[in-house]
Amino acid sequence: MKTKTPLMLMAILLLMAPAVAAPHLRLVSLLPDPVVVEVAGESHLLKPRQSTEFFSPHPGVISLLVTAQGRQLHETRFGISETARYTLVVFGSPDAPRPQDTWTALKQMFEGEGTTHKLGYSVQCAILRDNAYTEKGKCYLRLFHGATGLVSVKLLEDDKTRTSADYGKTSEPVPLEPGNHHFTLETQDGHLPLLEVDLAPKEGEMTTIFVAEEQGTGLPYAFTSTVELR
Amino acid sequence: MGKSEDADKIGPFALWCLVAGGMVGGGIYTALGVVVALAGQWAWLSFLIAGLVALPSAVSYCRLTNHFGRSGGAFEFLEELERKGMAGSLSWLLLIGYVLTIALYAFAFGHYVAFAFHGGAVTTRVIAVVVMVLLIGLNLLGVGKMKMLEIGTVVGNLVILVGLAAYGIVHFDSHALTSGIEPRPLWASLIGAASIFVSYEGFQLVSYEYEQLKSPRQYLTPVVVSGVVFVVLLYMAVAIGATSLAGALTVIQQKQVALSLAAYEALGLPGLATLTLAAAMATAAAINSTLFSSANLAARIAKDRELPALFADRNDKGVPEAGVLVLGVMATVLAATGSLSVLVETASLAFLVTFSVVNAIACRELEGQGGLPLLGLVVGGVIGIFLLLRLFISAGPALLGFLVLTSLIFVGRPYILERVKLED
Repeated sequence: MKTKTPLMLMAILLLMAPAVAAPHLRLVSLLPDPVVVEVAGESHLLKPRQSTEFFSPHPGVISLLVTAQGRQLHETRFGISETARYTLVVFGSPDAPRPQDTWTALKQMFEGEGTTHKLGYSVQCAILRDNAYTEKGKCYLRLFHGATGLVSVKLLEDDKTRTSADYGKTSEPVPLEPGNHHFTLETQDGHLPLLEVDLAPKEGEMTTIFVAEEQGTGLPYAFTSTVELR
Repeated sequence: MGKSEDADKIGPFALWCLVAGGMVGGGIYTALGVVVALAGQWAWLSFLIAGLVALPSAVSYCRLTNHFGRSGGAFEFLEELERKGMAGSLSWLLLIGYVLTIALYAFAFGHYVAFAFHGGAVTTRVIAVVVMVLLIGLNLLGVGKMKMLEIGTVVGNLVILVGLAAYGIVHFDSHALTSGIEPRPLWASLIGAASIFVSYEGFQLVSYEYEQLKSPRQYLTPVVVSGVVFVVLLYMAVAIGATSLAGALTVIQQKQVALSLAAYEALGLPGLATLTLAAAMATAAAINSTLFSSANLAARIAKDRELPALFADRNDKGVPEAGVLVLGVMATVLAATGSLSVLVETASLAFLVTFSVVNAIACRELEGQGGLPLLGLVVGGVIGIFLLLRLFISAGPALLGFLVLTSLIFVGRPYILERVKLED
């Protein structure tokens, strides 16, 4: 009996152990011009309103560098875990200066994560988790706001607010019925209609509406992208 | 003392539950997302550092309470030292700390319950207000302190949190501690510790119940110390386990309901339902006991003519009505309008000041026992500096409001007391 106990314990621990899976990452650019994103040792040329396929870097802390025509626009490091899926959004204005004063550095340190807006409208990255608090077989919608000209926006359906987001932030996923939907994007406080967005999501999908702005006109546009929930 | 009277008193197990429950009740449910945002993968260390202030402070509270042999906590200690003015000012500050804490618990209750039912921002605030109104009503009816129910809630809550932490640690994924976020430097753990100090304030509520304790000279210190040590270890384990399950980014983005998401990752909808129930019961119990204790503290202070006489008046159920109503309504307004980080951090500042005063008294009054209180003072001083910096940088108006209020208390309190009716 005594010899069986360690084996039983090992069996229980193995049963409880998580399935090992490689992390998945994809890149989305909302910048007006093509950029090169070097991430986890791989180089990706990203065109505006383009999303890459998912690729699988090793789990751990990886570094990221965004450049355009040899000019460094943004640099950061972040962690990725084995079971998570991420969408990394590059957004902002390449012409906006990146604040590098002590006060900004202090703010970033003492305000911690989730303070992208403190970097002003310079180029930065936001990381979205694609598989957090979602159920397989259901359908979700979220909103990412990367339009430098707007403070915060909301998404309405039949005059009811479905979700909203501040600049540089993503809303939490809201459950959606599969089928046709017609949304209106408005400014958060001004009730100014900005865009109409039609979607036809299916079961088991997470749709993200990325809001950014056209170069030159400054008018907002919506770029939608769908991932399969796993 | 009769046997039956002694049987009604709080024994060591019940005392341990009240200590652990008082701290865990609201603390970890609201603090995790805030501390992970600031300290990242070092969140567990932040809880340990804050624990290094909480533990010596708990020892100081117990030794001083036994030394003076009366209920009343910091207020009583200063009164015994003939520092009436300081006692009055500190007690007012402490009452503000309790109002902020109650608001924080109500805020957490609203978020956890609303999240389980896909409620939005308005629903969250409405639920927070409703639970406050209900608990104010219950307190006014004289059912504010239901020890057996509170003990049952604490045990259930602790079992669920220990289970969540254990599940997360068994499935530990070190990369999840920085999942989706930039790794933070080690010293960021000091900023984290400073911001969530309020998570440890609950133990000192038992110092208001000294006369109700069974053999306090024998049990008070070891029971309270073991309760605080348990909670420090539990917070560290939850910080590692829950973040490992949900991932740092999710814990930060959904900081108001971080533990619900971790439970959902662990066990799906049953996990979410269990955790929501635990969070709702724990935060409601924490609101209830804090409101009850703070209203009674206000009555005690009013008796010593440091608050208007109406705070000492009790209704036919023996409840200090004015205290319950004034403190409860203030907390309700804050819960309906405040933000999580600001509530957590301003309350942390109020308790850090109070605990530092208690440690300073212990250093002075308890001969040959000044080592631990000194440790509490030093670590408390360091994280106090970080907290002031953090509030100055990220919540300037809240810090200014707090400093103005504190100055008004210290300078204006005698002026106010001269102009109101005090207890005869």
